[in-house]
Amino acid sequence: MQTLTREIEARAPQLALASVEWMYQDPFWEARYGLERARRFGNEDALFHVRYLLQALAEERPSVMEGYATWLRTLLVSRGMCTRHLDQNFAGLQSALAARAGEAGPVHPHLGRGPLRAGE
Amino acid sequence: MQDIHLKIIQPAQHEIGRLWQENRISVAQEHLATAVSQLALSHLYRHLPRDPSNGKVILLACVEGELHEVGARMASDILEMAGFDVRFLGANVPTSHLVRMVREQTPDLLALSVTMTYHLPALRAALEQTRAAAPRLPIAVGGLAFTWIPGLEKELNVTFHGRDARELVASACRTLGV
Repeated sequence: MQTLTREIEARAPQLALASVEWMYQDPFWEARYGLERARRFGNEDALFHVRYLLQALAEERPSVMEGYATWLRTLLVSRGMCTRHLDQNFAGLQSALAARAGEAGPVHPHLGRGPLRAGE
Repeated sequence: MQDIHLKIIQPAQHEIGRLWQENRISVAQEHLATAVSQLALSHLYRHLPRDPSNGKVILLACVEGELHEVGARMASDILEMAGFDVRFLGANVPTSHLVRMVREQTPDLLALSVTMTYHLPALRAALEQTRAAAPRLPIAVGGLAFTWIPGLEKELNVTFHGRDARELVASACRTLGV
């Protein structure tokens, strides 16, 4: 577990970027926040997701990630995102990790679903 | 007086956090509101009704990196009201300096506060290093970080875990025999 934690920690910025980069093709982000702001805060949030994942791994407690996700839901929804975006963030992180581990699977699993509408 | 701490200031702090989380106040407003709480605590401090001193010294600190100190500060006040001699070190106490102070002041109890789970590695480091310096020193831990990791206190093998300030006082009295 420690080796995995160290490996993720060493690549945290790259993993964070890979987990959300695909998402910005959705016109929602530019329409809602402007692309510069969407990217700035989206990338920042993505790095927080990785950091909390690292904490959960370090403590060997999934409850850290669960507590974070629950807390974050209110935080992000009140700032104009919807809960599905949060799901996408975490799914993107999962794919980025899988891609890093050399496993099969696309880096951007939701691209085929079409853009999300605000409030969806 | 405890009611002002636990029924007014503490709920106010929780409400401030909730309002920020819900994007109804900014970080600046959150800091302003917290400063008001700190100011109220400062004014109240010299009026705290204190039990006669029980002669026991408690060192209370937020672990390295932890900036949320209002909860720990209220816990300090409530311990003082119960007759303890409290040395409150405040937010973000570097672990090495904490250990040095434990050596110098030889407290009867060390209480450590952690609000963000981010700072649990700092708590572990503080526990390890203070135990090396003072193996028999009872150590209490508390703070919001524990709510996301139920049962963590058992794993840390601390003397006790205070879920709130009153529980901390009761446990401190029991542990120190006062």
